[in-house]
Amino acid sequence: MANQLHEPVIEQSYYLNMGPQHPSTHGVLRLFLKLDGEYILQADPIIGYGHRGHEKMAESHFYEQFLPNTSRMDYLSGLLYNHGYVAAVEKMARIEVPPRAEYIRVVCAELNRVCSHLLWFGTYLLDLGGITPFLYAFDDREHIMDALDRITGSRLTYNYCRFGGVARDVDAEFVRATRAFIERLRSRFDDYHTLVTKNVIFINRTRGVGVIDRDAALRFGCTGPVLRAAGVPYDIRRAEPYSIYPLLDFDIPTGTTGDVMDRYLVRMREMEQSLRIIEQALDGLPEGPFKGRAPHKVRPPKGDYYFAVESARGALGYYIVSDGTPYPYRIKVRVPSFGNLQVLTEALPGTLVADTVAILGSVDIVVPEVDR
Amino acid sequence: MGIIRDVLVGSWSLITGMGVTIRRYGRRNITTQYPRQRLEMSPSYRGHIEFKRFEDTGSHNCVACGTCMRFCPTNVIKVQGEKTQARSKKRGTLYFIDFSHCSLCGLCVANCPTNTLKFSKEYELAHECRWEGVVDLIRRLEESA
Amino acid sequence: MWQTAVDILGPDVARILAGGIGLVALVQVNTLFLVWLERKVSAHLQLRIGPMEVGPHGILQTLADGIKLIGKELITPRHVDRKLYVLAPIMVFTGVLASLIVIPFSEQLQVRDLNVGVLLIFAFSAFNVLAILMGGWSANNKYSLLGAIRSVAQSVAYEIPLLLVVLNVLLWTNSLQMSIIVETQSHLWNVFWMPVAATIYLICATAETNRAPFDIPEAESELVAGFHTEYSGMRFALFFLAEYSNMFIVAAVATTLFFGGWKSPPLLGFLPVPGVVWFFLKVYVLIFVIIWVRWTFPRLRFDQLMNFSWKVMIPVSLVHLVVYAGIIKIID
Repeated sequence: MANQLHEPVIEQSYYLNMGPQHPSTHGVLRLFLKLDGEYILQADPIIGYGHRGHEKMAESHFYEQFLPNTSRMDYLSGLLYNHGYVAAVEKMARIEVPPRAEYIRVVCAELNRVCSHLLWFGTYLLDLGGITPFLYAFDDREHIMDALDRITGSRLTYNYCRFGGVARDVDAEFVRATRAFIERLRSRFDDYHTLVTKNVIFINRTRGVGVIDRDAALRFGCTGPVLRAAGVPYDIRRAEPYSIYPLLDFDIPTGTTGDVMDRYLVRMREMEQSLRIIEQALDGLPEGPFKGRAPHKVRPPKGDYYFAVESARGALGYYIVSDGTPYPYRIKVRVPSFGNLQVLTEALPGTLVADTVAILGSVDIVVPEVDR
Repeated sequence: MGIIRDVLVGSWSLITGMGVTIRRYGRRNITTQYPRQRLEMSPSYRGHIEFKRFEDTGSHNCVACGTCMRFCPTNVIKVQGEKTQARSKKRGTLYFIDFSHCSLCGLCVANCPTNTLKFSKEYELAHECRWEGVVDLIRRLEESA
Repeated sequence: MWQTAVDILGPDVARILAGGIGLVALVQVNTLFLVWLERKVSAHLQLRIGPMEVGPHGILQTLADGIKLIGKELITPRHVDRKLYVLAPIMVFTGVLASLIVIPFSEQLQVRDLNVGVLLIFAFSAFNVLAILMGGWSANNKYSLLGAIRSVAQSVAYEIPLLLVVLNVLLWTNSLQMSIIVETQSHLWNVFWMPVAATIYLICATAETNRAPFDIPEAESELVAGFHTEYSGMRFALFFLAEYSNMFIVAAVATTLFFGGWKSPPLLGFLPVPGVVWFFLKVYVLIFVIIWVRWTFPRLRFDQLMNFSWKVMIPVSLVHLVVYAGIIKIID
């Protein structure tokens, strides 16, 4: 940031701080903007306001004790983070997972993905000014959270996956509630499309705005809906399959131009695909134990391991270095929002201030996972 | 003529959008007016951690092994026990959890070898003084008899 | 007792006093009711219930909020332009009071029946623009300045189609006097044969009062709170009061010009309902529609808003004026 002062200053340009406290930066993100009237000349995201030291905490806790931390890094995809970490340690320590546990994990992960996308939908419309769809989306989310509350015991920080399986078994009531929710959400999609997707004001605000094309997305390491809207069909569930995803039938929605409308449509279609996955997994749920045998204190062999899952925002990776003791030497989490945030330095200049909020919301950054 | 068609299509989309919102008007509301009405928590809800009362002894079964203390990520548990006889198991006499730091993760409940710990359904855990968060679970079990 | 008071003061002064007190009371009670109405309507549109605690179904909630705002400290930041900062909320309120003088609530209930009634209302609505600009500029805050600049451009752009469609009504009635405009609608309300004009009027009126989807000046998610970011306490309450009173004035003018003022609807003329009740009923139905539109749509971006005014609203209203001028000439 210091070298900005040596650049030639355009007449009448000024600096605006969309500071850490702002209604629409989705967390404590600070965007340092250089404006010329209403046009943005330069945008610098400044992070670190929410750093809590999760990776440092991992060095002094053993593997089981780090489980609650994983839910709290990105609280909107708590189960997906749990799943990634537990699968990484199971790969290291070669722990067997029974098939029923795998199915349950996939159902919960996809429910969490739908939950996260619904919240993104609500808050994105809130940033654009339409306050009502936020309440409708949260009404739908309540049903997911009630269903997950029955089996995990909490609504946001789940801490449900354990080494070798899951903590509790699912009962018939959960299956019934999930199927009812799928029916309900499918009928709600029509309402959402009428209220939002076909709305001329919304189309004008999102079509052609904030283009992140394929080249920029690949250069900055974006993954998830940002990359898929630019036309690259890269999804960890298909590229590096894990759990039971090879057995399930689902599509990867992609966009064409990479503007805000494409990212919006990719996420809406991803929700529909997730509902398909949940139905197939519930239909094929096998009987059996829900947790395999795992050692009391996991002591993985020496070495470093990497495991990636597809979180709601992109590719989530856990890189664990173990030195043979129950305490990990280093856990590094590759979060998808970090790469997605960096692409803003290229996507924002040249747009209006009013579009900043639209573009920032469409990239779907969760700042606590950027800062960890 | 394209602009006239755009204006008409746009206006129709606005009118149908308004139809969606007005259809919600007057439907059943989904608000629970807390604190006059309270929700019922699910059976596996992770509330305030408590001791379980076993039917055969009428009391808890804590053997003061310290597993919960070692597994807690935030180190909020303190256990002390004493042996009644030379070769018997220890029995827990003092058990403190500091709920102002407890994250209700459930590692203590999952790893307790005698299944003494359980979750209750209590979620109103706010207190006025910092030291009110430190709860003696054994005394709490005796007072709830 | 009233007779002696009128004798002492003289009929004109008594009328001014009665009118002034009545109008101030109307503004306060109207705001009290409108804020509650908006909160309840928006809550029911969003599947929840609004305020329920204070008073039965939360009727006294606005009163509690008002008392809280009055009790707050009037913080004046150090680097503001003090005279403009203090003057802005007062000025926005005077425009409101002046516009209410000519509105016909009923056959006899009108403070002053000026023969330039419509012109007076649109002249005083310019005070609103000036006050917002003063408030945004004096607060020495980039967010407020952006909000004020946008507000001025938006108000100027949307006044033009507003006046053009009002001209249609004036061509028909041949007079600017509000009571005569209501009289000419005794057989047929203007909205039934000028529906496009009524729609354009309502859209432009929503833009003039800075309500969504045109609420860029106070865009809550982009500019924190726009031009009233730096105001607190009673000054903020005055801006708030003025916004809701502006909504009332705009709906009242729409009722007078297009919906027949205090006349009863066709086919319901036999009901023994006084004109005042019909007037307020129509005004509040229009306000309900404005609130409904606010909570449904996202916000327009600023340049799209200006494009909408210049490229869609103004051509349509010009064509409308020419066509209806021809129709009125043929009818007469």
